[in-house]
Amino acid sequence: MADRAETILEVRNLHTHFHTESGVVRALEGVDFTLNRGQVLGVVGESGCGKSVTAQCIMNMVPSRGRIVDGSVIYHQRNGQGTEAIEITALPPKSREMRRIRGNEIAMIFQEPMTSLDPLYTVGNQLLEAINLHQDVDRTEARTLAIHSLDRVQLPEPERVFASYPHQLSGGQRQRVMIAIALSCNPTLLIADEPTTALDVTTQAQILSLMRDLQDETHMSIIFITHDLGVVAEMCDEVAVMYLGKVVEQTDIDTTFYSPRHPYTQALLRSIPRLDDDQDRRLEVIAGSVPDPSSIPSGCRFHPRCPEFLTGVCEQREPVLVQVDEGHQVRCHLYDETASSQPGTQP
Amino acid sequence: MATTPTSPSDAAVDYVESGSGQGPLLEVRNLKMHFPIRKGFLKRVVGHVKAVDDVSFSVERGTVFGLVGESGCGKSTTGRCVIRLLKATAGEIVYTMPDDEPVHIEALDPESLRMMRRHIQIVFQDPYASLNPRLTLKQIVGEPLVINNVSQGQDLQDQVAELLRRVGLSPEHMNRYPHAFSGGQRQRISLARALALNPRFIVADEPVSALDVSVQAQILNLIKDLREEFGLTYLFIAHNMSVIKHICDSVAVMYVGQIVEMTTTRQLFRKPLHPYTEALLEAIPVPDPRRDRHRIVLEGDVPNPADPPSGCYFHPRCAYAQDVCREETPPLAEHAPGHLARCHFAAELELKGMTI
Ligand SMILES: Nc1ncnc2c1ncn2[C@@H]1O[C@H](COP(=O)(O)OP(=O)(O)OP(=O)(O)O)[C@@H](O)[C@H]1O
Ligand SMILES: Nc1ncnc2c1ncn2[C@@H]1O[C@H](COP(=O)(O)OP(=O)(O)OP(=O)(O)O)[C@@H](O)[C@H]1O
Ligand code: SF4
Ligand SMILES: [Mg+2]
Ligand SMILES: [Mg+2]
Repeated sequence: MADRAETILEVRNLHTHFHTESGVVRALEGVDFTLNRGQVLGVVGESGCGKSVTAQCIMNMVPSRGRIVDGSVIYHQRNGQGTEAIEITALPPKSREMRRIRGNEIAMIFQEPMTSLDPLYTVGNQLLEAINLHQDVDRTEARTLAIHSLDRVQLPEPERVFASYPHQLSGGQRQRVMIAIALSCNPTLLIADEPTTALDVTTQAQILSLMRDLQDETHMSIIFITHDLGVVAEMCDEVAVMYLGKVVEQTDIDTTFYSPRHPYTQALLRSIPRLDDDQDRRLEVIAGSVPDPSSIPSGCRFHPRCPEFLTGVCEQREPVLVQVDEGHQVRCHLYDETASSQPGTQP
Repeated sequence: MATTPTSPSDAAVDYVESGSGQGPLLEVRNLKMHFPIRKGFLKRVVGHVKAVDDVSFSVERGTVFGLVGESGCGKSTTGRCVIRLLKATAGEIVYTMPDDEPVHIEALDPESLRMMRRHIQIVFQDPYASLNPRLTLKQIVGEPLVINNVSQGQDLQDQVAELLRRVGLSPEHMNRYPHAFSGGQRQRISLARALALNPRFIVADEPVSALDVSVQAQILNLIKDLREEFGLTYLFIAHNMSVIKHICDSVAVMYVGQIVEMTTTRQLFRKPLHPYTEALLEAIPVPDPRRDRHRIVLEGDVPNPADPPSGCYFHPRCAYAQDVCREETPPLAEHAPGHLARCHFAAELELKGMTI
């Protein structure tokens, strides 16, 4: 385990909007979290809450219609004795520095391995390209590194996989190739956006076990994006829960499952079918559905669905992120003393 | 399980459940679906994908029967054969009419098949692809009623409103298009449409797999409610064991086109008899961080159904395989009352289940 509590990544008050024909989509409106070196942070939340856009911002790869309108992403890079804070969001996306970070420091794997691998090139070609982009090695060395990286993700017959086209591999094998490409340059931080969502449970179990082994071996930091709370429980040390473009709670894994404070986190946990359920138990559902991003509720954006809703407060003002315990942040008026004791004073 | 005959108030088809109400609603016997593999200029058949290979099961009235297994094991193909979206290569599909009369679905002519569609409906996985984006809710949900000359005008309007209410949607949204609805709402629309002709049997092919957990919970509850209220019977296809556990009364586990284990849900989880079932149970990510994270992981990939392994299809991945497994195909045998498994060692192995 790396030194405790040495921050590697800070995301502060991130706001990212997309300009579309039908108006502005406020995809992120206050994403805050901290990742410590050597830890695995889970980012969870329902479809459309902004998980993938958050990953795009960290990679400084927001699609052209999108803009980071506020906030920052700060990466703490180790060099020699100390660390240097690099504000990723201040770097031009195509700058040399940003390209160096993407690849040498931070790598990413995506949900759909088929769309992120080029069907026209062999696995070997794509691996070599990634290696040559970031490392100064000759052809034989690059090939040796490539075969080694396929071996490392436990692909049987790495030579054969090297010469294969993506469609000749199974879904699980393609995802292993994606991981091999991402890890070929030994990143310090890996962002995995739903890396197992498209896979079968058994294949998912293989990939999760592989990622755990690689993490034990390299101590890399991982941001693990998923909507599956079972996967979170198996993989993560910390969890950030998102709702409609905001982080509503961040704390350690045990607290997330055993004493969550935000009503949304609590409701989410109650809605999952569990194996130890009584067959006749009705699943508790969260009232209503996630609102359309074009009509975001006033005040706390969870208030129309919240069982603990405080009339006169929650629909009036936006809650801020408050620290309820050491290392435990919650964005909810229930825990904000200034808000519940003096309603209506803040602008 | 005994069920009371239903008497729906606004039935599109008023069934008189004049039969005994006993026995299975659907029986599938020795179902085979072999897709030809064609190659070359002459498109000669060079082999077959045995997508479904000798599958038999029966679904009791008013129950939910689950089909589970990894991608490509033949779940959807089985479901499609049952409702004759695919014409099976061989086998019998016997449906029991309300008056106990058995009907062989595999042998129906097109006209009788159309009538049968009133009894049996299907709901698909992808709520985005399965609804026509150019039709309003009213047109989508009302279409089966119009095509079958069940109702029109104000009558139609009222029936569609009732169907929407039944699945928890507001009738005021009747004139909107599907794009205005979320994934969960679209899946409700699919269900409303499936319910239009008052079916007795629904094939649900991964109806919640594409949905978020919170929405998934709403749809699972709805499926349960509809069963209770209208005595509906389901064939429920899923790959998520937690979902199966929550909704099914009995389950068949499929592997490479065959059933490898079949019993009640309770029994399957408590005391699995097939090593593949044990592996599936072991693979479920459990939402409890205090549970030990290290566990046995099933190695390898699902074999190609066009070229399955010798002997037991599972032997290359099985932790308990012996020489006999490579050579001899195990039969699907009954090892306890109503508990079938296809494994040479089902009687000896002490497999790990779950305390439920
Ligand atoms: N390129 C884009 N143009 C316009 N809007 C976008 C774009 N990318 C994302 N959005 C919008 O931003 C919001 C957040 O999307 P994002 O993809 O981050 O969600 P997510 O949490 O990753 O969801 P999922 O679980 O479905 O992957 C959504 O409302 C989405 O429609
Ligand atoms: N029309 C077809 N022609 C040829 N092969 C087919 C056809 N439809 C399905 N198959 C093959 O039959 C096998 C079973 O497919 P099926 O769709 O039934 O699997 P499934 O269990 O539903 O999988 P999933 O979980 O991915 O939906 C697969 O190998 C598939 O490639
Ligand atoms: S028959 Fe042999 S290989 Fe097949 S499941 Fe049983 S023990 Fe495993
Ligand atoms: Mg996403
Ligand atoms: Mg299928």
